[in-house]
Amino acid sequence: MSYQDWIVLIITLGGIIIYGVYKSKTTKNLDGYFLSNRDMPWYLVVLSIMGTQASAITFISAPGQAYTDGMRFVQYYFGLPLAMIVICIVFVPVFNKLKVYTAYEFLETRFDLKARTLTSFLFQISRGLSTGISIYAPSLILSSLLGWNIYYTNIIMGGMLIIYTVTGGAKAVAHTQKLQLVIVFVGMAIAGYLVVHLMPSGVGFLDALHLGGKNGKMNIITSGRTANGFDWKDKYNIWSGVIGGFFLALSYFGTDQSQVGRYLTAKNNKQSKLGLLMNGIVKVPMQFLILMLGVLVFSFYQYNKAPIHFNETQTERAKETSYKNQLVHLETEYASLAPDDNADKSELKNKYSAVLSQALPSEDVNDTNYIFLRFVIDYLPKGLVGLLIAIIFLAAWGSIAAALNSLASCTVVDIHKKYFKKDLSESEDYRISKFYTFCWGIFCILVAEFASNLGNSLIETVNILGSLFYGVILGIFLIAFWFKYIKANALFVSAIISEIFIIIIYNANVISFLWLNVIGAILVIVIGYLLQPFVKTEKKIA
Amino acid sequence: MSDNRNIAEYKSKEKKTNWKLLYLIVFLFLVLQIIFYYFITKHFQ
Repeated sequence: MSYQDWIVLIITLGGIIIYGVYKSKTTKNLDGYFLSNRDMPWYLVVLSIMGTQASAITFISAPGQAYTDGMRFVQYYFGLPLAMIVICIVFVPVFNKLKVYTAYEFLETRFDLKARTLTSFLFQISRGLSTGISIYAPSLILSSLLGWNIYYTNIIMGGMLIIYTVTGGAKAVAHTQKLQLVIVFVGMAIAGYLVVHLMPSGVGFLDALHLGGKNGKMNIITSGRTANGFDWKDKYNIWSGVIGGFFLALSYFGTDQSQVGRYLTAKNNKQSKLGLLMNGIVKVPMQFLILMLGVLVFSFYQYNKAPIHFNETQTERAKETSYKNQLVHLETEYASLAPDDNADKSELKNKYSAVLSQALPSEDVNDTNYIFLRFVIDYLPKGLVGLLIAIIFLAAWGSIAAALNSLASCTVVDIHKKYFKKDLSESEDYRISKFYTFCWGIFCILVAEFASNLGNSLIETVNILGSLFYGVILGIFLIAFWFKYIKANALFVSAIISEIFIIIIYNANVISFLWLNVIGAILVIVIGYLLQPFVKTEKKIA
Repeated sequence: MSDNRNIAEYKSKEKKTNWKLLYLIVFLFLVLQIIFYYFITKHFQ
């Protein structure tokens, strides 16, 4: 990075921290710290919801996803607008009426304390691990591309936002997310404009899309059908997107405290619902545009030599082994190909990856997550590189800050005040909230420091992790709302059995992960129904 | 007194948000998008 890039990076990140601390003035009690006194208007709610969901992984990984697999990943979000409608009708009125701090408080009213504790625990485990990945993933990529030490990058990625998150709570989170999103969108728009501008003269935006289309990248709508019928292991098609994506979004936005906490900060029911519905309108086009950026980068590399492997630091490490000659030979062969000779390029890339795997057996050699940033570093003007790197940090911070706030709220409200110290004064509440926010920040950084190979696209990894837990959590809430027959004890046992089943099904690798959300929810309900006649009932429904 | 109550009722009805209409808009926007993306897929592939 040039010194201009460093200046832009430091000013942008420093500015956000200062702004977050400045916006830290909040009422020093639980309502103020975790829910910003429930005074947010809908437009801040929607920016907060979007900022929480769109982490750095979205902006690094999605363009790379489109570059390698085409735009069909957008179908994954088709269920989201439908989920927003259901949440507005069913979840929001219940949460607002009960004036809950966490989504799981409601479960104690409906079932009992152990149902609430189990669900809160499942959330904290899944969100804690996901947040660790949300720190690690962008840190790994940046450290690899820029030669930074991964451990220090994790600390900067996860540690600096603790400054304003601990001091300011939900208010600081919401206001910084607003600014972060604006900067992110402006930066991505500039990147999009420049990638077209850098094409040869005579090649415009539509030409670039046509070129992408000829190479199968404009596969936005896919059916999942093959010669052998519907492919249940096909990850992204319109059916898994609408149905599986609906259940995933319903669980994520309806039962995950990192999102519930965002719209509970709204002034009233109306502002919560407007924020959610606006998210339902904006999210899919936003993802479409981010993915399209990946297609434009692909088309750009039809006129310019793409590296055989986008993670250059990894190839340099591999060349220090006995496989150096093989790698150099493949690189020479690759360099002799025309930029648009995609078939031969693809074959050589695969061979290169195979040799890399042999040279570095403990490392993941998939370079999908390095494509977009490699393009940014190699081709964008000085100063803009710094801005795009800053955007990675800002996107990560927006989502991590919300996660830390939500994890701390669950630990305080669902665990500490229920099992350890029930009666706390307002100042004790405030102090313990800040303490747990700090602890979760350290925990998530530690997860990042100990994380290793994560497999394929990072955006997939985070969603796979979510899909392992979200189905069961959603099933618990669906029973709470609509299946009054099932009582607390049956629900508790059913949830545990269902979670075990989901992990078994995932490990068997027989179905795409998006369907796990549907299966998990249905399993909890069905097993709950089957168990209810045999399980002792304790509590009446409230 | 009854005039004041009528005015209050009228104002609360006037401000009431038509949620069903908003849900329909969100739903239809999704459907239109899917149709749009389908035609883009066919056009560029």
